[in-house]
Amino acid sequence: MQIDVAGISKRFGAAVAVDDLSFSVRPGAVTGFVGPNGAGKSTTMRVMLALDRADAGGATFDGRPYRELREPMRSVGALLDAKAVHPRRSARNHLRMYAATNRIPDARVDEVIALVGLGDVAGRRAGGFSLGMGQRLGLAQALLGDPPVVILDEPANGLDPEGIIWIRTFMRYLADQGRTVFVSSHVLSELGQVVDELIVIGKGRLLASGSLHEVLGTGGRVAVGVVSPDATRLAELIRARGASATLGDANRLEVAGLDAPAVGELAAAHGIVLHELTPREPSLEDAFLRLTSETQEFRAGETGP
Amino acid sequence: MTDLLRGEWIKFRSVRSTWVMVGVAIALALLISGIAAGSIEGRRPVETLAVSSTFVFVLLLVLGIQFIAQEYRFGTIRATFTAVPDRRRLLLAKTLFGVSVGLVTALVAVAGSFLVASIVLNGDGRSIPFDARLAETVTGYVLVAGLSVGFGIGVGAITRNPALGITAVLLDMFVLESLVTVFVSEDVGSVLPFTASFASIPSNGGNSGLSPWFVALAVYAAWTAAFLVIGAVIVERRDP
Repeated sequence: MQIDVAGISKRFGAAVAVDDLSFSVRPGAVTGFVGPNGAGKSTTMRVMLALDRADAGGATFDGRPYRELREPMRSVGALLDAKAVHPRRSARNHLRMYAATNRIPDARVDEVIALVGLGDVAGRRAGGFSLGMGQRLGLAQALLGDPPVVILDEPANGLDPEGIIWIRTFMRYLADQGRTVFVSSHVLSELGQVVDELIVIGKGRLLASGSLHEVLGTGGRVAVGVVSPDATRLAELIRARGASATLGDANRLEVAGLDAPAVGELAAAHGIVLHELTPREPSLEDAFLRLTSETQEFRAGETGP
Repeated sequence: MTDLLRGEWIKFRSVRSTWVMVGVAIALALLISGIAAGSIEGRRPVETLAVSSTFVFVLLLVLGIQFIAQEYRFGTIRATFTAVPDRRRLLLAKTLFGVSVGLVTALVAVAGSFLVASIVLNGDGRSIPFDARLAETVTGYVLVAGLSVGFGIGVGAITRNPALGITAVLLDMFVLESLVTVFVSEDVGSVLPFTASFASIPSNGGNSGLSPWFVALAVYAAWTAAFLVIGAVIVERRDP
């Protein structure tokens, strides 16, 4: 099931939360929805789920708006706020009350409880759950209707590293089953390499979208690590080509502005021996910060004194 | 609709506070009618059933407010709306279920009160007569109980905050309506919701307020409907 978001705008009083935002999310992939806090991620998700009214635009699931889905939990599963439980209701009853509204049998409730590993605590009050257990409960809730679309708002927020890895693995598993997985985060590295597609927003506007490598390519820079017994001479040759080269300890050289093949060919042409030639992947966080900080500065300039 | 009603039933039965509230309402009714039967000399025996009404209705109003405002308080309303995007249908289900709870609670309270009062009165050689007045009293009692939960749901949908809703209702009930009755006019006061709900039970004195009792009941039903409609519009319009 494909999600299409078309021209969503939403303002709260004078503040613009989402500004003419459009994108598509395809099935069989994990699509990361990233941006700094306050970028409009949660608002966008709430509009998609027909919780908040958009001032303009809207979202459709295979062409149908959320409100027109019959028994919507069977089409779209959502995890919005893991702490949204009645503290004195058991986890199992919490799930059952939602399952009942979409005619989902109690057997499925026990199935999702087992799936997220809450079997031992399902009879306990949800109010006593840790954040990690709460996220698992929220995920179980999202999966109740065995939906082709799963929307997760900051599922890794506040989790320990083990919990983050668990969530990532789970999202991969869901996408590999052919589901559409749409997941937001304000820390891109939380999602890490599990993300296939990336939608980056800042101040409610679309900054970049596409595959992980496409998006990071636009924000990253070419960099190579080199080790050579003749590092000093190689550094001069690189600088002569207009790129930068920084000498480190033990004949180590950090090159920026030339890619690995170019550095290798340059060394070969001058008979320089290389011991190491390592393309430096642009870091997720670097690229992300670069993309988002530009808009933030731009916006700050607009409204500044 | 049965799926939504089932969801509300699970919500209701899976927390203790709802049972406590219903239990306290019934226990209060039994206790008060027992005391009333033993102490109110000049009154007709049938009135002992009605004395508990105000207390029971306040508890049922609070229960109604909790039915919806608790969902906002704990944030479960968002998941509820994603499960059931048609908010009017959801509110209708809540109202139908809530009113049913009110009716059943009142029936149990009345039956229990009747039993307790009969035992106490029998000790004095008196009994509750099975007559039209008894039938009217029971009808008024049970229907106002059902409506009170509906009224509470309307208030809860408007305030979305349990404490605020309960405070508003109690202020109106015990302060505002009395002030209007005393300082504005008795006629205006008599059509206000809780004064009307009081007059909906024929055995509640009958010296003030609307009469006959079913006119008062109709007025209270109209207030309930009005609050539910306003609540539905607000729930539909406001982002949760």
